[in-house]
Amino acid sequence: MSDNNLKEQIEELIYREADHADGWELTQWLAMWADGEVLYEVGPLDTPNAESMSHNDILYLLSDNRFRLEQRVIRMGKATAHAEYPVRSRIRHNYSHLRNIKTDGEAITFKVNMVVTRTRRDTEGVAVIPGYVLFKLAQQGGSLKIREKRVFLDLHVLSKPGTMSIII
Amino acid sequence: MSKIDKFESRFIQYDPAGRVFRVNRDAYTSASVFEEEKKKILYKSWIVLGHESEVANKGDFVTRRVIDKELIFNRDAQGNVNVFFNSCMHRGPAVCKEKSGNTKTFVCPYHGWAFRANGQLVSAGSNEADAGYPPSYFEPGGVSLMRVKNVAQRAGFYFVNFDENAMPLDDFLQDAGKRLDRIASQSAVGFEMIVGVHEYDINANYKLLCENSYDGYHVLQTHATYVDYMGQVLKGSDIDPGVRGVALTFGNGHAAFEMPIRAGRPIAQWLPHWGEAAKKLIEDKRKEVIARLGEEVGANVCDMHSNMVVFPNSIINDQQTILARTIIPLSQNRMRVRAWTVAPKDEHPKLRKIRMENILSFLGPGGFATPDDVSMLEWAQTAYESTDVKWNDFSKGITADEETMRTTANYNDELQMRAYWLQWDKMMAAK
Ligand code: FES
Ligand SMILES: [Fe+2]
Repeated sequence: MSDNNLKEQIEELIYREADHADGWELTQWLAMWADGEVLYEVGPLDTPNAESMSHNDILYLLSDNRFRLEQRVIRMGKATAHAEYPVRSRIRHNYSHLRNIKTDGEAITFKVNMVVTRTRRDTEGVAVIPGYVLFKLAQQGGSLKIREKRVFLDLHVLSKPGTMSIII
Repeated sequence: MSKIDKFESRFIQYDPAGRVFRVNRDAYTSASVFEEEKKKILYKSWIVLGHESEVANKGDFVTRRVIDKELIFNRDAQGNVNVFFNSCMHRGPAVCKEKSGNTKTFVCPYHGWAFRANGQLVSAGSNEADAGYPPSYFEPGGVSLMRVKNVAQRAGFYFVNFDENAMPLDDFLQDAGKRLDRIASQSAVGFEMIVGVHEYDINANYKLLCENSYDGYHVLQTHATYVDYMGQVLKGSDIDPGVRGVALTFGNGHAAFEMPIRAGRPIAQWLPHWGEAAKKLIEDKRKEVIARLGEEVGANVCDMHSNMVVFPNSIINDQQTILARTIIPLSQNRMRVRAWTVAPKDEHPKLRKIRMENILSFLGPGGFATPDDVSMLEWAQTAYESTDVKWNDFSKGITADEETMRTTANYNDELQMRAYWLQWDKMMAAK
């Protein structure tokens, strides 16, 4: 696979991931993840070198394995997930600056910058949530799937963004 | 204080015989009440600042805000723990901009005044500058960073009090002190701070989070999705998923609820999906605790969890981990929450991993419970500010002869909040 071709495939995948997250298409979003163990996490705020430290040692904002990721999606779909019911946050992921694409056997890793905007009906203004994402993809059944999505935010405090009751 | 007769104050309607307890919503919404409460309550109470493990070594420091004061919390070269206001004694700026670290001196970026870790001024930036001041400035008893006078610890938790005439911490804590001791008895060797703090803002009065944190009544409704999730987690275990327990009041407005642990915990409740190796470690931990504390206390430490509010704004929860939530009230309708956790220093890596996973599923702004709590508080605050409804109701479980000091009730009654509000009201009534 040529470099350009791979880059295009990656872009296509993360844009689709963003579309599902933004559209609250939770089942489709979950289906983009690879079979087996996965990692979906948001690192601690204001912690130097957080990405090199594991959620087993330091306190992440969230860190889901497969079981918790599935449970998260189930939870988010319920009317009793009060924070996002009856009117869900309007969110918009913007990925750019795709860098550091590396392949290692079946795995593909890369870094991409991220800005998520979030508008809540009961809160004034728009929250801007900046950061970057370290993705790891896996080849499965001839297509690319998400093995890891690790998000690190450029924030000191979750002030304006509010709680992480959205797919970040 | 024991039984109280019916009364009506600026903020409270209390009628034990009629079984009614109400709080005026001005207590959550009025900017002038907030200013008054700072003076009469927040600056006059002991407030949790941090944990001794944060300043374990000489030179260790952290900077932190308590209420509306920026502080440095450190251990100096003599081994003493200090709390200073983070402002240069020359003309003002913070002398320490980092959140934490280790240093012998704090140097002001403006003109270079340098202060030892014990607060004493050692240099005005250069020999030339030093010569411009009386030599006594640089001697013991000379110029020093301004110290917070009242600093004390209980069971490793450090507190500050900004009142010149503060009562001793132990008197203030009453039986809440024993609860802190009990929590700390989980480990014979002491605790370490886990890196990573959850810091988030909530658009609500800080007292709403206090109420929420030991409100057993809301669990099944607000946290329906979390209860469903725990049902999945506990599948295949013989742990009773039912919620039960007691509310406890400790005096001076402090209170807690206490319930059997249901979510598993390194000290000491095992869940099947953690595997056999973890089972052995957790059983050993339980034996160690019981051998040290005796059957009755040991079993309580291992089997029960508690959520406590140390009046007026410090939350110490002993749940999936030991979790402190200190609240900075930013205004009458906004707070900043700082949630941090300590764990036994000697914890086995396998158990630490379990602890960390356990924390993440429930707690914090990305967990399965906190976001819903936050929404409830914000929606409550919004409604206080945008309707003419005047009173909140805290009558659940009230009896005609109720005692609110050092007593117990059902975990899902509102005794603990009545105890809080009676203390709050009493302090607000001061001249
Ligand atoms: S203001 Fe700090 S040295 Fe001048
Ligand atoms: Fe809650």
